[in-house]
Amino acid sequence: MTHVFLVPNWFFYYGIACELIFALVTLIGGIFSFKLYKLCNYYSIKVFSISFLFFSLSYIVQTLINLEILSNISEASFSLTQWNNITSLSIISFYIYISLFILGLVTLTYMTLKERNIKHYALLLVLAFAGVLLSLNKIFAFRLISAILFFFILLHFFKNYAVRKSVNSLLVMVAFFLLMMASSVYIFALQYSTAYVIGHILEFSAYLLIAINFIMLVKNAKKARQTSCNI
Amino acid sequence: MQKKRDRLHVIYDILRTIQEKNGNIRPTHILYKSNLSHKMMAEYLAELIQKGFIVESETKNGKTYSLTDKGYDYLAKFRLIIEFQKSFGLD
Repeated sequence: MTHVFLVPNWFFYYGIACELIFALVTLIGGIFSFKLYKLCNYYSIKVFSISFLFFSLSYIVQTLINLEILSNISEASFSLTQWNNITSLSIISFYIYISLFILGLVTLTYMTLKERNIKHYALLLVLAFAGVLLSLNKIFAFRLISAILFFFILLHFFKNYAVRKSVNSLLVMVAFFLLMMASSVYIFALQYSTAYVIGHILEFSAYLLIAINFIMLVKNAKKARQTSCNI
Repeated sequence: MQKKRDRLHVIYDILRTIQEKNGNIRPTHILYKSNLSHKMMAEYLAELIQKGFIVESETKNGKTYSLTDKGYDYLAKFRLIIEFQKSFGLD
């Protein structure tokens, strides 16, 4: 049963920094969209904010556990007991991380289906979790299911861009394309440490585009407010 | 076929119509631009006055309506919601 990625030593700190940035962007995105939901009570915005908050939690858990592992390994000497503790910590954190990430991913996929049927949501969740938990290689199954779900989410954003043809919808579409690619690349991180680095770079680029999109939305809103005041 | 508007969107359309006329508009113009029945328009206008989004003024030509700061704020916030929905395909 595989529970580890191959991570290059030089990248470990950068990886933690990246995961912290991912957590921040998704947290801001989740809070921002939740505030919009409070203004308008639109169901789709609520579901969107919940999905981003789940993503944020998963990245926070991943960051904290990586920091804990790093602090344990950094000690001058450690015993077999400590090594077993690190391994147990990695396994527990892995399950928490994938649970939260799958929750976020399934919630976002459900949002793109544009329907309000809790049974469909529950079915998606059960299938996703079953696919991961019942497989022998859980990381491989998790990354494969993530890539598939990201693909379906990407179809929604592609269709949105095809209709709107706006800069914002293009940014979002490209971002989710990069997230899908990152999930696919991570599959190879089980054997090639470079894939772990490339996956993080792709994820970083994706969340950068999402952050730019949020900034553009807020800036345009402020600009419109100023313009309307000047009339 | 145009999608049915929800209540918030109707309010946004009315306020935007008033804003486009530089904040001074007669009821008939709102009726024409907002695509509402006379009864519905009167109900919405009464609600918007009561909530402080618009003010009603009497001129020699009849009633006119203009936006308050609260009305401008609502427009800005709803525009943000619409742009957010469009960028993520949530509409």
